[in-house]
Amino acid sequence: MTDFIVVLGWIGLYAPMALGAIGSIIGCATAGQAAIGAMLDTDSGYGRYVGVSAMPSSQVIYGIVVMFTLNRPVTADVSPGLFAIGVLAGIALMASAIYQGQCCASAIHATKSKPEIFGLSIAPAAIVEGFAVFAFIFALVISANIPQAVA
Amino acid sequence: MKQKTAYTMLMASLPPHPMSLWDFKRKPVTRLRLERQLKLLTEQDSQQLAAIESILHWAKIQQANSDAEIAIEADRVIQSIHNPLLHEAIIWRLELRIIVTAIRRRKLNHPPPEKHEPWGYGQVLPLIRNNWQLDDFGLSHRFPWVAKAQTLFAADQSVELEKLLLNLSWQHYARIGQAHYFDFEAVVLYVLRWDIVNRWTQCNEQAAMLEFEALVNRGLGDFLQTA
Repeated sequence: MTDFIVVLGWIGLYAPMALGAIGSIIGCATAGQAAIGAMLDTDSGYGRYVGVSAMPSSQVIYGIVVMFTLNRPVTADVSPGLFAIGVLAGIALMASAIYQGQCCASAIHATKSKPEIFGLSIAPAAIVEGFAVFAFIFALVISANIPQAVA
Repeated sequence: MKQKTAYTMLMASLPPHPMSLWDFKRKPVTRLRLERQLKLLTEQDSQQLAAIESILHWAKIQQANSDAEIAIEADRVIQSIHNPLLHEAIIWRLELRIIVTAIRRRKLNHPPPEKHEPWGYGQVLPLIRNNWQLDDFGLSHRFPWVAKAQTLFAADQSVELEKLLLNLSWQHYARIGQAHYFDFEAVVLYVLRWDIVNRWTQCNEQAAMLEFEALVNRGLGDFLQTA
């Protein structure tokens, strides 16, 4: 049983990074495909399409930071905390990246025909990013309550 | 996921349709280019789209087919599609057409269709048959436009009637596609709306009248000279 709990701890340690990366991959792929599609239909603005399509990559960075913050000797005592914080933060980061990718795809699609709304069109994607930041910050704050090592 | 992102690219590569059908002066994209982009569809989805167009796009319906054959084909296509939104899109359009057909048949003093006569598709068929004597076939509660269509048809305002029907389909597809941006449903609705734009941009009232007048003059030319 103890081994199982420790395994959960290791999963929790790596989860924010892995789930954040999965979300970023899906989000960037969705937005990236939209950027490629937009390039087929327009003669300019390629740089901004690619720039917007990279927005969902930030979640994996948050995941890496949370992973390093949670990093400590994994024992049966700290594992439940690592698992809960790591997995839940990871899921939040993953969902945020996927849906941000969809927002970015829509922004790219809209900007293509109305370039003047470029700034406003990425606001919804920034709002979705805000929720990832919430999950990230609170994961950092709450991880301080997990002891570094139990004597 | 691969399919989903491919459809995101497909939709993003197409110019978006404006809110109003009347904002078009020309087609947003040529059929040739649309066909090229549609190659991103999977084989199955491509066949499904072709089947949907084959029963909704007038140019793709075989002229020689009878009403019964068209109804049977529509039934076959609808049974082969398991997507509720696409069902809705197809059946709505077929019901619109069957209502217009009923208005035409009645104006020609034809009797109501027989109970088992396959002359169209949709749940409105029995309602139309049972309410043949009513101006709106008793459908105004569900289709508020029927009375206006009836009035335009009675007044022989065919262009206005065509505009009404095209705009109804245009608005309906816009409404049901609101939650779909980068999926197969969005692609189908885009193509169906493109068909509407294509039909409308090919309508040129002035040119049609001039062409008609020229045809009449050409046909009557010899007769007028000899008279």
